[in-house]
Amino acid sequence: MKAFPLFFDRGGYAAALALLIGTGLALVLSMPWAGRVADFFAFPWSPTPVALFFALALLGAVHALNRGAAVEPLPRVRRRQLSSLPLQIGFVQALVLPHVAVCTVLVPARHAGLLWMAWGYVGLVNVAFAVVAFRVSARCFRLARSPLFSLLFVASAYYLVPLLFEFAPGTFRVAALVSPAVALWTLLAGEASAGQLAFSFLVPFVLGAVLFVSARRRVATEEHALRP
Amino acid sequence: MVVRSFSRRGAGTVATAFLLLSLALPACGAATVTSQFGFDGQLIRFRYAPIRVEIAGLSAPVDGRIVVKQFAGSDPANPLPLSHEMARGALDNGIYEAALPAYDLLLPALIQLLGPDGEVIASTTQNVRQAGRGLPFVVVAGEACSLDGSESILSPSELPSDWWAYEPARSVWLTAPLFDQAVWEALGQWVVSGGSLVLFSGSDFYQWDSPAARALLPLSSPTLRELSPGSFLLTGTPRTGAQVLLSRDGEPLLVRIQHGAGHVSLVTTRLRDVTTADLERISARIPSARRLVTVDRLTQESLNNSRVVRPLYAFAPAVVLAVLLGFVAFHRNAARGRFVLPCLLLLTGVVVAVASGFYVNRIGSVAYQYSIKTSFYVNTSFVARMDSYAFFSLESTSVAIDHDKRQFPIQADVWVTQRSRYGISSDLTQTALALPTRTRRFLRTCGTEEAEWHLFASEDDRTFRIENLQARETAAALLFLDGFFYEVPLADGRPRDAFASSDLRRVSASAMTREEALLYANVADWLLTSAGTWLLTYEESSDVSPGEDMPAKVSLVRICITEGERS
Repeated sequence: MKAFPLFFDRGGYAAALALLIGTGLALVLSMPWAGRVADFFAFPWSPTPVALFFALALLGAVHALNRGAAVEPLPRVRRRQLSSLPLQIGFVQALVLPHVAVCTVLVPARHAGLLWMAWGYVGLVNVAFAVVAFRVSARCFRLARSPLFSLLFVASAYYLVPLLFEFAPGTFRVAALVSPAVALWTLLAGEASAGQLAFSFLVPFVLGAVLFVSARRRVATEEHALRP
Repeated sequence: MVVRSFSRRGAGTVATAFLLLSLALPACGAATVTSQFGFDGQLIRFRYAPIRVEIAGLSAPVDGRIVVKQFAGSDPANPLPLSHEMARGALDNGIYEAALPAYDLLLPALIQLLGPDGEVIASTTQNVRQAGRGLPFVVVAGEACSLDGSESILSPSELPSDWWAYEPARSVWLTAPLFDQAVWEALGQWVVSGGSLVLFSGSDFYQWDSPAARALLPLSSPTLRELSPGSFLLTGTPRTGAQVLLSRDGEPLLVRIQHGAGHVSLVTTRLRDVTTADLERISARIPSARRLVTVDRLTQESLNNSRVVRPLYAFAPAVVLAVLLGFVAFHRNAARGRFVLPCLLLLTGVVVAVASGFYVNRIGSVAYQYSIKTSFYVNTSFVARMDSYAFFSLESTSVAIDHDKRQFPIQADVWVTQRSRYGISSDLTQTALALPTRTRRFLRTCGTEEAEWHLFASEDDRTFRIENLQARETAAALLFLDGFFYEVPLADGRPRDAFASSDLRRVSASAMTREEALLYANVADWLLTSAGTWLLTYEESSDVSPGEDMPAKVSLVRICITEGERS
């Protein structure tokens, strides 16, 4: 299978386009529009430039789920597809680079590093999402079931279940950082300690790597089983 | 039996020893702090008020601080402290004075003497709730006199020596001799900035006569004349602009003169020589002090009209559109199997867009913090300076105002009593305050620093000479002469050193430039009624600096009103 269909078929083009439009819109709306200081009070629309990253996280997750869920029936093609997932996510992350660069103009220089970190974090989470979607969809494919609800369930659980740890006492509260929403908020607010940052990045990395390796093994087994 | 008797005796001994020791405790020299906030305990919310803190009982000087904390906020369980450090260093027994802004008067003020490590050596609280007044009141210094029943009566020695401390006073009546020259200076500065001073003279005159007092008098060459045995009248030549408002037996009783924005009223006899009916007539003719002549409104308007420093709005839509078009073109070409060129184009587009972002970021095209400082000088034989500050920030940050010793800023315009807007912490020379996201804060400080301008006029007001010690560039300069405003000729952005009245061109308010109109608007209400020759100058500068925390646009405006001197 060629690279083009791998990247753009089965809704890949639409998902990437939606990501670019959505993040672009967030960026345009978060530009300071006031000509004079009094304008900020005459019409108190106070968008924050970091809204771009929440748009990127949301639409990037949709794109990642879309790409991961596009499971091919042939194990040989599926192996290539799995291997290309980080590339596909990297491609759209590169596409939004100009948006992030413009966003760094809109925040004080001391926050610019955090934005680049957030951009990297979103990419990492989306790769993990794509691999999770691949595993779930491959399983649903074997069971001849639609993966839609399973994917929605897994994605929602990843985002929402760790939020319960916000109510946990003391050190258990750090588990809330497993949720990309909490991690991204903490990161962009500049409140994350080095340990929290490491934990935030480690979770999607380990999750993505473990699932990637196991999915690769599974695909290799299936491919081997089909060999004459 | 023996044991019981012994224990009874022992207990008695211990009790006696304890009693003796407790009687001796006060003699051990525990430090005490007492305070008086306000004039005779009276003050007005959001205005300055004098504070006197007395420390006693220290056996040796302490390296410490005196801190006054007021508490504000609608949450009584967790009120917000507004802290002012009155003194620092080696502190000994004695009286320490300052002028502090009075804020929320609901909770008692806490006055603490702190040790070198911040430990509390002594403290006291002052209930300011009962002391709060709604309107300015009369301050009588010296012999008591009944005016409207609400006057604050104190000794002349208790008058503050910082002129801005008189802000809550409607007028100050000096009914007994005042000997402290620093207080005379302060009264003069207060008058120049809008105060109203009433002086009783008569036979007391020579007791308080001094150069500062003479500069305030509406009479030149004052002398005493005996009307009847023991009853003296102060006479002299009325100065230009002096008005005799009341007479008694054909002799002037009340003479008034305008000094800067304020007035001095001279009663030509002692208080005890004035009848009740005369006192009522005098009281009715004493003008109220103006609220300190400031440029708060100008500063607020300048902040509101301050241009937001940001990239062109079209910058972001252009980048977004370029990326979208590049992506669509890439997809179309890639679908036809043409990869290399679209890839290169897309890559170039991304690199250019990212680079443009970095470039714009490097030149710091967004200013997040806006601050304006307007310094206003009234420069006569007394010098008063008012600095108005306005701050705004797009991001939450904190700002610091450097000021001279004990010249604490006051919050000039507090609309909402939110914790975040109220907070302020002042040490002797610096005040720190929080600036929450997208809020404005306005403050004001007062001082005695002299303006760099001097105007010398010849006896016949035909020729003028200007001294500008700092030699800064001036945006506008006006001369006020005989009730009219004249444009001062500028050379290289500065007023010419010397010029004749024939060089001057009269300007009407409608024909003034923006800067001239700003000057006019801020002084017309009192300068138009003044006598003499005045020089008005307006300087302005603005700069975007990287700042410690974030890029900041800093604007400085200096307005100097200088009274002409005879050369």
